[in-house]
Amino acid sequence: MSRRRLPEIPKVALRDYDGSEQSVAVWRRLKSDLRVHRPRESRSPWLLVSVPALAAVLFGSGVFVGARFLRPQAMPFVQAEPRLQVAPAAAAVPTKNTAEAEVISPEAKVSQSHARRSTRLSASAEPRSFGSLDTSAHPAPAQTLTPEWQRLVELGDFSGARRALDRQGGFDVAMSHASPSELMSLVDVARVSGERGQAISALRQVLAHAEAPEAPLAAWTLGNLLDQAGDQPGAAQAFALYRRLSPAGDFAEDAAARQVDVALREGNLELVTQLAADYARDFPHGRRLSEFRRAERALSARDQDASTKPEVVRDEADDDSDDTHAAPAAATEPSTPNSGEAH
Amino acid sequence: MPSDAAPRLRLISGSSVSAEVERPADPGIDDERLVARARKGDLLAFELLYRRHSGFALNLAVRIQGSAIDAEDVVHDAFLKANERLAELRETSAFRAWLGSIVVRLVRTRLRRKRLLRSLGLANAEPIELDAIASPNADPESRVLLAQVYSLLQTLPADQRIAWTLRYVDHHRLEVVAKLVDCSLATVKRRILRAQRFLNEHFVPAFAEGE
Repeated sequence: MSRRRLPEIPKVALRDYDGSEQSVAVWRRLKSDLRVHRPRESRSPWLLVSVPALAAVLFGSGVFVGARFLRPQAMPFVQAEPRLQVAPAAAAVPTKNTAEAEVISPEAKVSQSHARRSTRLSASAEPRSFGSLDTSAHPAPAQTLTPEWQRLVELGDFSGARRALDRQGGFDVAMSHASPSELMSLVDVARVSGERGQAISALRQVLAHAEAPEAPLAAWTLGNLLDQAGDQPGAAQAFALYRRLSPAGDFAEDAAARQVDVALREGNLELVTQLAADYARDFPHGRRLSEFRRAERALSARDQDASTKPEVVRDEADDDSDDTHAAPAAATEPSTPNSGEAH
Repeated sequence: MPSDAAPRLRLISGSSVSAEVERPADPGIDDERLVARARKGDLLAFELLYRRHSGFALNLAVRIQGSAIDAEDVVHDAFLKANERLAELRETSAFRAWLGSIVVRLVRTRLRRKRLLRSLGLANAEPIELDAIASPNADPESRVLLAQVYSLLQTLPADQRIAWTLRYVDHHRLEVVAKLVDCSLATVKRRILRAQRFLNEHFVPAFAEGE
């Protein structure tokens, strides 16, 4: 064999792990670990700037105060100079004030460019508060329009956001004029504070905006919440809606599977057959295909047994409470009644 | 190194690097929004990011290592790290490229550690798992090619091996490779060139021409 240049490796010759079993296995591990590890708080670059600035301001204040009290004769000069030098530095000192507090504080005079800079930064998720601004020249910039609860949600303080919501007229008031994105934040607040009913209401309102990019995620979340609330038909509808809104979405296969699960729990053979066939058609390599086929066969066999057995025999079987043992686990789970909360 | 069959290094200009790495899998909510939500602690948003990009991360880990050993651990650690450092991600729409660079860093650390242990006689060479790399539908020629290429790659330094694999196995553009390995384009080209020269010198075709 002769030595030769390396041929190209064709893409089709490589194994693709997209949607593989390994990927699912990793997620199971990851999910439990994620509950333990919380994301780190954002380390703002302003923090790096603000510490030296704060030191400079403190030093400048010390010089100013010292000069004022120790050398009163020099006061006019000392008074004039540090103010001009210190004011911009002071504008970069972060404090713990809220956005509202920074707007109403009337202390230092800064230039119009500083005010614009502060407003732009406040609009982003960066920590704001750049000392005090002259409000007479720039009354109420955009940040005053951001509700406090939303600002707290941005910072990840959901319980604080809940309290702020309660102070500002309540959840329903906030929900009434919220955009789909804000509604999803409200859903988070409601879920964290254990208000499932409010979360469901907010999700339903998101779904009123079917064209919103948040709508598929809202449908999926709604399905999960309704399932947890015991509203199986509602959950099935929400999962079906997710599939309509995002047929190629990341949760499409799971949504189809969850529809079959719900039908299995209800013991509805006709619906199970139809939904399992849909699942097999849309996801021919679906992870739960064989499981559904088995469950469908078992449910079918159970229905046939029930229809062919004489009544006397069935009564005996009921007495022994053994007739459900042959059915699959999913099919034998008691179907829970509608909770009513969801509607 | 001119040759008809050999892959060549070439400069590609034009669209942004992240455009190739970023792939919107779901027509609904985009990565930028998901990252924003995941930053707030939304587990569902992070799950969505995971589902979109876990295949890419697994492919990277397995293809660079040449085996599936610890690939799951690498992906697990990469996503855990990504979740912890999500606040540090400035270009939120470039989540996929950022995740890729985390995976590459983790694999490189692992490869270097293994190489050190091997040089100290504390570990054996890892076997090449052809079934982990090659598709079940790959033809015999491709399987033989992959087996030989990976056995040669094992002898290369980790940086050269990673750069070459990303370019010619995972088929990323040079700019993307530079971003994934977190170094300059010139360095990447140099590494790939060295690896390519080595492979050209030592590669022996298993099938004769026309066979």
